Amino acid sequence: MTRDLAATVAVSSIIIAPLLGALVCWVLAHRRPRAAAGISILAAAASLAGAVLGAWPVDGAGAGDRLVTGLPGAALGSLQMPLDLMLRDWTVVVSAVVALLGVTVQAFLRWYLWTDPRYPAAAAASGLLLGSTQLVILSADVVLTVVGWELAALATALLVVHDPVRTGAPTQAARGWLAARFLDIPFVVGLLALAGGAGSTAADDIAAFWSRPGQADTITFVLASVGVVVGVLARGAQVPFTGWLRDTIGAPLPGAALIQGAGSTVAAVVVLTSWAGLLFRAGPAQAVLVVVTVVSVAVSGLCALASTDLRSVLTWVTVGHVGALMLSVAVVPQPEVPAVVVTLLAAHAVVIGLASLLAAWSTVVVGSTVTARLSGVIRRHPRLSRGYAITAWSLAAAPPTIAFVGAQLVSSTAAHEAASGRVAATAGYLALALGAVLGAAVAMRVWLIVQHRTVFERRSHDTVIQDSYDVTDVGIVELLTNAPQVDESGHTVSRRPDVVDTEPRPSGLSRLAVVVLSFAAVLGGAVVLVPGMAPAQFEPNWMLSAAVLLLMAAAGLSVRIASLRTVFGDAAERLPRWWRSLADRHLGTAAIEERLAVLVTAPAAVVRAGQERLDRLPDALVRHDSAPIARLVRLWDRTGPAVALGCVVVAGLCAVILW
Amino acid sequence: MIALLATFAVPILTGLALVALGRLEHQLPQQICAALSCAAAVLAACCAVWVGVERPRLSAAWLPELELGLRLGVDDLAAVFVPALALTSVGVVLALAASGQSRRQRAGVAGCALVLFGVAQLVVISQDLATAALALTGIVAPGWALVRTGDDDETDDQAQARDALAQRLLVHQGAGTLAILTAVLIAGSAPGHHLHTAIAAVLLVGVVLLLGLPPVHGLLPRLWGTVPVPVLVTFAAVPAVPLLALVVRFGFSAASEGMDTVAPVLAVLGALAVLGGGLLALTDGADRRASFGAGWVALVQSGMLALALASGTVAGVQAAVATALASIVVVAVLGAGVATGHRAVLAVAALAAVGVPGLAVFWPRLTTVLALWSSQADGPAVLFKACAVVVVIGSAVLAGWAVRALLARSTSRDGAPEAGAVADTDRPVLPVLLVAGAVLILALLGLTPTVLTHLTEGDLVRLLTQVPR
Repeated sequence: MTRDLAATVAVSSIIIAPLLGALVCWVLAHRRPRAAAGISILAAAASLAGAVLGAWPVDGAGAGDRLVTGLPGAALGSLQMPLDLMLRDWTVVVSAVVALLGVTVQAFLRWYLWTDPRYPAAAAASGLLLGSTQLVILSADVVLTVVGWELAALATALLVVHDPVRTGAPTQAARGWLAARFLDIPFVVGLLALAGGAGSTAADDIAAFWSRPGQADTITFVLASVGVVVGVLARGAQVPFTGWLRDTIGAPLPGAALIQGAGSTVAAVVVLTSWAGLLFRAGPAQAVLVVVTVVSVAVSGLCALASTDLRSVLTWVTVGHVGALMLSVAVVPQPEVPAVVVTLLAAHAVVIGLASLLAAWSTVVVGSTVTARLSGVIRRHPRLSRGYAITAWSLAAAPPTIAFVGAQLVSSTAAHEAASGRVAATAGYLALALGAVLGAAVAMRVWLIVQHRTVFERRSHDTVIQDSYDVTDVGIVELLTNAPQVDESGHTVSRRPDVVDTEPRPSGLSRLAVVVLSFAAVLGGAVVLVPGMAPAQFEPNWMLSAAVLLLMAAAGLSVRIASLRTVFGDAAERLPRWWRSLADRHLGTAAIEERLAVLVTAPAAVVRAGQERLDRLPDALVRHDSAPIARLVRLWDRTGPAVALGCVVVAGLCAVILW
Repeated sequence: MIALLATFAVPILTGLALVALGRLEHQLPQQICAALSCAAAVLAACCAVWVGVERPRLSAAWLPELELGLRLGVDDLAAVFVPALALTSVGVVLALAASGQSRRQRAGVAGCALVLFGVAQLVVISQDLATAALALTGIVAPGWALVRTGDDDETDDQAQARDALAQRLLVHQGAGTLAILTAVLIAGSAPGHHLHTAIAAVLLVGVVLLLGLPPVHGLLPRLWGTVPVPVLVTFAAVPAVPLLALVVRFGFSAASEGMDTVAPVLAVLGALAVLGGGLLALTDGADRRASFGAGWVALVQSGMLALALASGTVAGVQAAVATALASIVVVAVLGAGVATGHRAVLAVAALAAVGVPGLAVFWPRLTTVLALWSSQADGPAVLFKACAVVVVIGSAVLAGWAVRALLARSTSRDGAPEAGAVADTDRPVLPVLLVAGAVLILALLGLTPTVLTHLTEGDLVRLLTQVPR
């Protein structure tokens, strides 16, 4: 297979397979869950296979950057629209990670929505989200970026509205989609402004045009850059744009895993990474990015510590991870950005995916993700214990997980930059360190909740231990009645258990999905061994890393102490009520959004009033009996169409005579 | 040559015959009327497709003293518009044949619709500006009659409202076509650069009146809920498509300098239509009695068309062509969704109108923004850039409408089914097939964005860069 053909096949599989799968699920398999499951899983697997093919060295050479024609391009006068896609080393890895999460989510979704007749729609929406995210990742043309960007928002809304009977689901979906549409305005305008100025929608042409001397100082470039950065921050759910991510809590949990781990958030980071070299030529754009992400990392960590629902915790963790990723893009030297970001991005996708699937499993067995209900869940359902252990370990970014590797890459590079005296790098490094400490605290909190024992369980355990020390007399009657039954040889007769194990248990495929993600979380750090996936000049700063690890351990210990003597083993119970309330309400963003809606509804009311006034004018004209038009109409009523036909005939005769 | 003539003559003559037959006391059986109209539309469509491929030309002197002649031909623009209009007329006639209206209305409406489409075809294939402008005046009477033809069982209030609407349509279209004709006559009688601005200004008046731009924007949206869906589709196609063909050929060649002067005005009016239409739709979106505000979507589409034209670039005019065609399909699907209460159809139409990728409106909207941003037309560049931003904002506002309309629909379906709602199994086959076909076209236009661009590129580049033919 030639290099170009391999690239074309790879890109087709990565993007088109999930989109086509979604279309088939919607149109043909919407009443056949079994067929929908097969199609959606196969489509996601094809996307993964395409990514692997794209990363595979061809003709003995490395994969390298390869341009692939997407749709047939067009020349709109002086404006070129080539609609190309690009396979780069790092985007292919991101694409593979996203596809891997897509496969695992599709596999788990089938079990999670086993009895739900709307499963095919959810599978289709997940496929659409996967395909649109892949389009953004591989796009080399701003038009295709916008296409994927908007489709991802739509797919997210479709996942949220999955259960329309659930109170608030349609409103949440609508609010999320609307927020995305409005927050996309600066992004779309910014990108199209850059393209309009350059006379081409190709990313390379735009970069080449705006990199010319003097272009970066123009007001158009500065405003467009800030617009794109704001749009990326909004899609990355950074503070204060976390509202849409809050609404995704209503989506089925595996779907939420895809949204948070591989959906719009990942797309936002990829777009920022691709365009950072150009956008940061405008100082204000970089400043906005650093300020917002530093605040987001800090706020999200504090809120994740206080949320009373595991879904909400994961949402805040996502905000923090994406904030750290974007901060890395701003802090790390530009040539090193992709290599540094890709591992952390993979860590985010895998950890959030694993945590969300485990939360989905827990929801099925205990009926809720509220921390009070999850308290001690692995004590009652030991099958969950290994998964939760790996999740907590990964959330804490403890060695040797992929999260640890990614965090080390970023923090060491950021520390090196901070040492050079850059204010942004110093602020970024401190924020990343704070994020790591808070992340460890959150991980410890989650672990303490899920392995918590109730007072009854502790006392029962203590009683058993105490009983083992006490020697009590056993009567002959008790011995005969309580002793196990034996056969002729004196062996104990095995009895069938009276209680049948009725605990819901995921299907083999779903459990395999959890296992795959667990392995990826633990061993995925090996991705840095792939050539090009680690910075060329990487020098680990072990002293700083050790210091941060010590701080993380201290944070974990503090959480452990705070959790003692609490009802559910939740350290957050020690926090002030207002803090927990604010975290659960996502900083009250819903109320803020409702107030901001006045910006649209007020002008709409004014326009409506003006329109009603305008409507009265022509009505008065045409309804007046003496108006000339009314007279003409009455004339028509009397004479009928005979006059019209006569006129046509006369006109025809005149034309013939004059010819 | 016969096919070229048949493209417009067959629908016009058949339409007139149907109108006359519809007013007879002893009417023909409805099957015959329906068969006649369908046969005429299909015949004209076959001719249109053949004409679109073969591109014949016909040139005959008519009034040499006045330098008037009958010059018909199919250029790149007409090769797109002629089959599109013909296919639309087939869809409209089939939908009318399948609808459960009175015999009188069916024959009359189908006849008027055929006449309208025939006249539109004549305008599109006329290579002579005077003939085209003269032919455009032919849309006024059938348009008025189309709105005025009511159902037998409607109430007096409904009939009165419909009559008032028909009269307003008569005023708008009469004045609009007259303005276009005047502009063409001025250009023909006094060639030269000194009158370009005046010609363009008169042309602008005609465009505003015929497209229903602010401040005369209240008419077309009000047709929703008053006339049946096939009639709405007819008005989505005519006069927008023939007007576009005429303005592109005439405005950018005979009055190019004047067009540059009036372009900012057209852009502002277009921006007002996009933003105002979105806001008005938003306020109607939750009202189940007012077609969910769907009528105002037509205003947004008109605004988009005006903005694309105002940019004065090849990309802009290509966007205008795509917008005009997309509007027809969007109105068809949206009208079907509102009329049948089918949530999926309504959702697809609403998403298409909003400009979701993969559906027809996305590409013209995106191209319009790009064209406005890179417009080199005279006038303040900031104004065009601001208009580009307004297009994006208007799209977001329209998303608000879509959400409210869909939420209103979902709440209305929670309880008992609505009066107009029909069970899936009871739906007649033909309307379902027509709606499915429209949805398919909606998707095809969205998934193959460059086909229209390639088809129209040659002529538009020649026209807009002033290369003599």
